[in-house]
Amino acid sequence: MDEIFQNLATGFGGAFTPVNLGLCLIGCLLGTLIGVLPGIGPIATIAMLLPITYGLSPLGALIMLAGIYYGAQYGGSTTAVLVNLPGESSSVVTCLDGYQMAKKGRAGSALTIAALGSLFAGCVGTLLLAAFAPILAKFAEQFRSPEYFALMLFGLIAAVVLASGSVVKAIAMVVLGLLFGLVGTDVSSGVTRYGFGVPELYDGIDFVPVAVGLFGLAEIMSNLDKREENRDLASKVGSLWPTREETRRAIPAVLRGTVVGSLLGILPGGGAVLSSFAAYTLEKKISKHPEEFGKGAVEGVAAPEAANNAGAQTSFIPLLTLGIPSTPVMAIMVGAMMIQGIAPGTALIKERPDLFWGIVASMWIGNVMLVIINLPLIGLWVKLLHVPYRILFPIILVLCCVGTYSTGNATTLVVMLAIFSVLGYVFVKLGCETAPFLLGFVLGPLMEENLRRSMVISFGDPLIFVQRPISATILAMTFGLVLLIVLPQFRKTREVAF
Amino acid sequence: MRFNNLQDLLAGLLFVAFGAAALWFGQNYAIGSATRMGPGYLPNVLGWLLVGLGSFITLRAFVIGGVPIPRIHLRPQIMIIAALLAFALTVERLGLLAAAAAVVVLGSLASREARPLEIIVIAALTAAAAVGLFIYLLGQPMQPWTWGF
Amino acid sequence: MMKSSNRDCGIIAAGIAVVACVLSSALPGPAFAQSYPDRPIKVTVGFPAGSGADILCRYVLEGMARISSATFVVENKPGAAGNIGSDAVAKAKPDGYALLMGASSTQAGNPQVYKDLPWHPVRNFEPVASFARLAYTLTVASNNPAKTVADLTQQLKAKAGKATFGFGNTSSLAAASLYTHEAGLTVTSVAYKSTPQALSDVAEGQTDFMFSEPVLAIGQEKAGKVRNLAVTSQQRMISLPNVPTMAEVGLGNATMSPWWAIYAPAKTPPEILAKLADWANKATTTPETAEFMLKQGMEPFPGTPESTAKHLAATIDEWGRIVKIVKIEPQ
Repeated sequence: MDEIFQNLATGFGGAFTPVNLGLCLIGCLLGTLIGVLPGIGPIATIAMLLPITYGLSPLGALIMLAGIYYGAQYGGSTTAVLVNLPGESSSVVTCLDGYQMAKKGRAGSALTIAALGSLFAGCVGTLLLAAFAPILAKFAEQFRSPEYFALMLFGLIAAVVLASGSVVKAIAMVVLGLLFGLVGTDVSSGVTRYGFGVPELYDGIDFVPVAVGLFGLAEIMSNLDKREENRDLASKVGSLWPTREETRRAIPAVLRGTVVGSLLGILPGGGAVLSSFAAYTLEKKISKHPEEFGKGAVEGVAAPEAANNAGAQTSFIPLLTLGIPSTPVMAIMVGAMMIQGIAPGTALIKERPDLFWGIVASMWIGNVMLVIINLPLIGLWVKLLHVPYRILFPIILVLCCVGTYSTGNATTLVVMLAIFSVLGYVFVKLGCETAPFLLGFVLGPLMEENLRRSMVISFGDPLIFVQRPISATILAMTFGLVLLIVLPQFRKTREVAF
Repeated sequence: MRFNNLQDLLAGLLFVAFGAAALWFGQNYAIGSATRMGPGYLPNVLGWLLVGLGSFITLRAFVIGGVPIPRIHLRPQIMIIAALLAFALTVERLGLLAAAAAVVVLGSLASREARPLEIIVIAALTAAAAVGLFIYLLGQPMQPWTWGF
Repeated sequence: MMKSSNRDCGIIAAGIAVVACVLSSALPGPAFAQSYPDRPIKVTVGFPAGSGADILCRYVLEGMARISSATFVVENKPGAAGNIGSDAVAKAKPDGYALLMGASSTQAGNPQVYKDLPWHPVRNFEPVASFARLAYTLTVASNNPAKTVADLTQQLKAKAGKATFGFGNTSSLAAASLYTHEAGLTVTSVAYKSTPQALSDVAEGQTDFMFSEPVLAIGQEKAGKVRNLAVTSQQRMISLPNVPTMAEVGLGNATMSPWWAIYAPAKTPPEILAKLADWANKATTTPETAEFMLKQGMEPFPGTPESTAKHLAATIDEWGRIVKIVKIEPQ
């Protein structure tokens, strides 16, 4: 333990220079900005800034780029809560209850809980990174294709729990999401599925037009259907601070979310995308009031936001210890390190302790900075809700268009946005929930890829999934979850029948 | 019991339609076997699953009651789609200023509360702010204005 | 259904290309070559922002901007193995303000892998200058007893059809297929979305070997996870001086070095091409660029428009051979 403190002292010494603090601030500010804007994500921003980092010290460059990354995580919840716009997959679940809280006039409270929960989770995630990185990396290395398949299957079953209405419709939406996820070139065979001769579809449908269309624009369309006075809008603004009751419910949720997010974040093969979904599912399943979820439950904001930020910190573990990037953002961090002449991997902690501990220290500084930046901003964001809707929604439309366009600089993406907003509107009218669809869409390709790869590697032996202990455990948990979902349904139908 | 579950009936039919489309357009993908799956394996399984679930939801709609479908107005939908398509058509040919202004003008008309003068002012301000934010601050590869027809 | 709409796209695209060519040939070329460039030059990269390819391109452009005081704006148009980016530039105005940074796998390989591409690598483009060249490393787990390529070949033969290799992209698949073809092996291929995933499965013994981008394989070798047995370049790589080439181990036909070049739309005035090639070559030959590329497991590969065109023709032939061996289905 003493060693860690000594190392951290070195790290803080490196990170606490005026230049590095300034870089951290710039990164956090820029990250918050792009996090608030839908579409423009940390990847494009970091790529654009890479040439600038040639002139910086390696530590300074990494501090700034990491600041952009977790700044975007903080900023992403803002639009999710205020206008039901998820900018990336992790903020989809924040929409579910965050936007409902905003409709009840609790937008300020939801954002405050998200920020403080993220701060706590970020600090814990960083602590795990500092103390146990090599051990956790060993655990992550156990996860190969069969384990990832089991994990994705678990995630898909959990997707059904996201829904607050009919279970059968939720399952159908997951399946539909899976089908949309299959569009594009199949990794295993190279065959293009459902491409219809449109080259932009060859790599699959982009996430941003789907999420922005199904959630944000479909919400605008159905709002405009209603007369002004009947509109169920997030225009009431209550206190910015959570009530005592909200705080009491949020604290344990933040703790659980932190654990879930930290664990999933260290898995390089796609654990991070699951973290916020898994945290939400857990809260809903253990809650005494599952019926409140989807209608503005505090836990439904606190846990996923904490999980998301904890995962963001621990996803640095496979990168810094194994040299394996776990997310596209981590892949570009590898690029940034290469430019500086640093090879990420096992040797980094030993060869460049100043750098490793400097990054760790800067994560704490960055998280504190982000809360300092974000808390005063919450008041400002909430004031935006006073702007009349007829003025606000065209501006949101512009942000959605530009953001979607810039994810691939292709007008086809904006056309897809139009298609998915119509589809989302139809779903709203038909009482089909879009969150399970989106989770199927995100997890489907990952599940198929790992399933088929496992089968190729085992030369067609399905026992590979039960012979490996971790995979078998997750599959058993999946089966348990199925029972948890199905049994109450059975009871309900019997009650109706008799 | 009187039939009152049009919502589930249509939702079920929508799922059946999507499932059938997936099967129809995916019929040429090699299915393979459970041990050596081809690119058509999962589309086939999921297509049939969706047809089955959709049929179940459709039939169930005749047994259980539902809630009425919320009111549908066409104006907001048409104007918002028009705004998005206008953006797609103009952003590369006329530049971001014109495209953003077009989105605000067409999008505003989706609301019955639209006020002409206000729309023009908001369009101008939003277009200018979008150029400043996306092109100058965030360095996105777009032109403020251009002529590309 | 898909085939016909593909063809339609091709016809429409060809039509657009013809119209664009006619319109542009009416413009006076040399007159604006004098003042070129008087506005930012848009450079399309057919790969996602932040990918290895994108980082390389941005680095070279940064150097070109410093030499020329021109402004370059990178536009990432990812998708379909670079096809979308190449297609966009093929249709752009040939005025020197739209350029492509293209990989040899896209420019020479894709036209033979994909049927009915709406662009043609030779007819729609003027090569400007090649700038970087890389190779692949034949990589096995560090606990694999094979110390040489011959050992590995023996080992794979003994596995009699139960051997596997991973690949993260088409070039990596091509390199591995050339090796197994040359060595007369039957090995099952396992597809991955990217090299890091595939490499980590090699290190953990899930697959027997792979052909990796050197930068990643070198990093993992330093970490003691994998061992590099050979490189696919013509000469040994400076960053791996002790690793033999495929030719040295008697598998000369498994040599492969992908390369990168700047391309302009066909009919771009030659004065502009010359200007750009000059900047690119100056930027490529600085010691900093050489150091940057070597760290990434690449090497500078400067070239003139003429030498690049010649090299492209040779690479197109090479890919013709690869496509036949690998039996990649044209789609």
